[in-house]
Amino acid sequence: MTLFLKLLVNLFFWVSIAVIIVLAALIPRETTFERIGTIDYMAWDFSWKAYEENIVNYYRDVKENKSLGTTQFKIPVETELHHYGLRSLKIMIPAFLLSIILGIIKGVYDYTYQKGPRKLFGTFTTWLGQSIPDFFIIFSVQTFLFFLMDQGFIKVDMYGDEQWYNIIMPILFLSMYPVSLIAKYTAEALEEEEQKDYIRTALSKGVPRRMIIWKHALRNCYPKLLLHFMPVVMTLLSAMLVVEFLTMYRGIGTRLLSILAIQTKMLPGQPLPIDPGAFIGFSFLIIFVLLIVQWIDSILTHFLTKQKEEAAS
Amino acid sequence: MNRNWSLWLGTLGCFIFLIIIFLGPNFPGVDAQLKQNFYWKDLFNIPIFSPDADFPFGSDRKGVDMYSALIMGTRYTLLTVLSISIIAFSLALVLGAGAAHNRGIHWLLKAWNGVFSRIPLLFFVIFFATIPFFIFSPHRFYYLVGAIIVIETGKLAEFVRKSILIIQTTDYFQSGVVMGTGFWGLFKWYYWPNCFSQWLSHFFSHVGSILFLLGQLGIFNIFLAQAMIPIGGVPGGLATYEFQNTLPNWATYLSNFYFDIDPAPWIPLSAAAFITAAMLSFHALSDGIRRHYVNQLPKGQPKLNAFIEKQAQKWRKPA
Repeated sequence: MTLFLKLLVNLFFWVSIAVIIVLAALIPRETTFERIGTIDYMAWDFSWKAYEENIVNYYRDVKENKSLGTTQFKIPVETELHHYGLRSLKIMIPAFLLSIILGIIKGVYDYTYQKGPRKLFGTFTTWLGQSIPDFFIIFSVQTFLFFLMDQGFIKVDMYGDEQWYNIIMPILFLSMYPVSLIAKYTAEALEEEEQKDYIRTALSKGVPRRMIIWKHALRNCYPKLLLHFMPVVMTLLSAMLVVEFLTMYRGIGTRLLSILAIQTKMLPGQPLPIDPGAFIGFSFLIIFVLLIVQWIDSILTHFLTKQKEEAAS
Repeated sequence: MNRNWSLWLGTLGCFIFLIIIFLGPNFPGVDAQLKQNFYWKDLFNIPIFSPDADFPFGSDRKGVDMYSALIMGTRYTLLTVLSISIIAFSLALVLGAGAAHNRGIHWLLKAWNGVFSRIPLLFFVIFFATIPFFIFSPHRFYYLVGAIIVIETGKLAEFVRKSILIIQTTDYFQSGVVMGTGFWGLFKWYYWPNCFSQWLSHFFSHVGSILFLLGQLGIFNIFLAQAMIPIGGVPGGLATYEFQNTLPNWATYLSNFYFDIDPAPWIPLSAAAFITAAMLSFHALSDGIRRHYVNQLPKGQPKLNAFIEKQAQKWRKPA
């Protein structure tokens, strides 16, 4: 029952976020200006009437067209969601799986080599991966590739999504941070297991250390790792925005930024519109994904802690 | 001998940045005015200048020496980041401690986090910063900093509350309650001494993450402080305005990266390198402080909240 309540509370919060997003997306974005001398004084032209009109119109559109809205390209937003969503999934799912696999392997490595020179490739690189901003690594890699291309060594298509291999770089960039995060959690969980009786028994029986880690200790670590499911997905999502933008991979992140239409220049009196239909559609998609992730997270946490309590008692 | 390298490195890094903040403008070769060189030595030698003896890190598109710009930007960037973290953390201490004592505040905190911690901070700030009201407002900087503080305070307060809850499970704490210690006394004598190291460690990693956020915003051409500068048009007629960052900030140089990355990679790279160096220092310091206390623990204990847990255990032991 408590679990059900928890899921309901989660749903309630996400619905309220969705309502806030709809209301925020429909804020009128007209601007005015007044010229005094040679200077234009610009201001936001806000009126409650225009706001109300936006909301009413949007509601009517949704009701008539049975769609969350039409984008600036005169396409229903669902079509765009399908198009860009599939493209983003192509990098998100491999990045997620890669982070889990590499992260656990790296965590075991970090745990095994805690002393000596091999520590440099272990905990130190894990720490670096958590502390270095991803954009620095992306800039460095791109500069290096440009250098190689200038020297005539290679010829690759670094940007966009036309070539089959265009997904490789975003996947690697996306998984950099989660790998080190999971590696850290794995190493910590393994350290906690170390002193337990079953490990000592296995050690005293002469079971090889590698077998103990992979077959015994790690199996008991998985529940602990699952508790960190939500933060990993959250970091992947916010990294998606930067990585897709920097590699010009036209997925959900890049499209969301183009919807927001961040201006660098403007004329006085020019409206600063966003695409409300598209914005609401894409936000809803992200909210939906996060809601599902959080539900999975809540269910996992519920059963895992229950299991733990039973084991303790 | 298990030396705490991260503590040393972090302290050294933060010390260097402190020196740059205070003495940066007086460094040799730093042009404190950030003069725009339309040509250099030779009338046909126009910007962008590549890195050489005169410009150690090259120059930007306007001929400003990158080395000077980054040294001058250190003060504003780091002070902005530090002030956001300090204010957010002080509010979080009050709110978190309050939530550990008062049910109402706890519910408020829960609701606050329920709405704001669910979506990555970056999404929020980008959307917030593009609303026309905040684009034209002369106080944009304060609004945006305020928004970041408000969102971050909730998360930090939850962290503070959790660490206080561990202390509250001890007999040591119960004795304090029995003696009739008030809220302020409990905070001063029970929470602060036991949680201080963990809070300090978390504070520095938080500073690093806010700096990361500023860098990400810079990539999307969003700045905390920006003004509209006329860049062209007909005299007396229509003019075009450009959004320009008004505070010298490291993140400014990331904004034009599509055009800089091939012809002038030193512009985004050196700015990103400064951000990376500062983030590494903060994270190293945070990690070092944590390790300093965790190293005293026997192996195999949970590292999370480890120090507080250790303190708590000391008091839980029967005398």
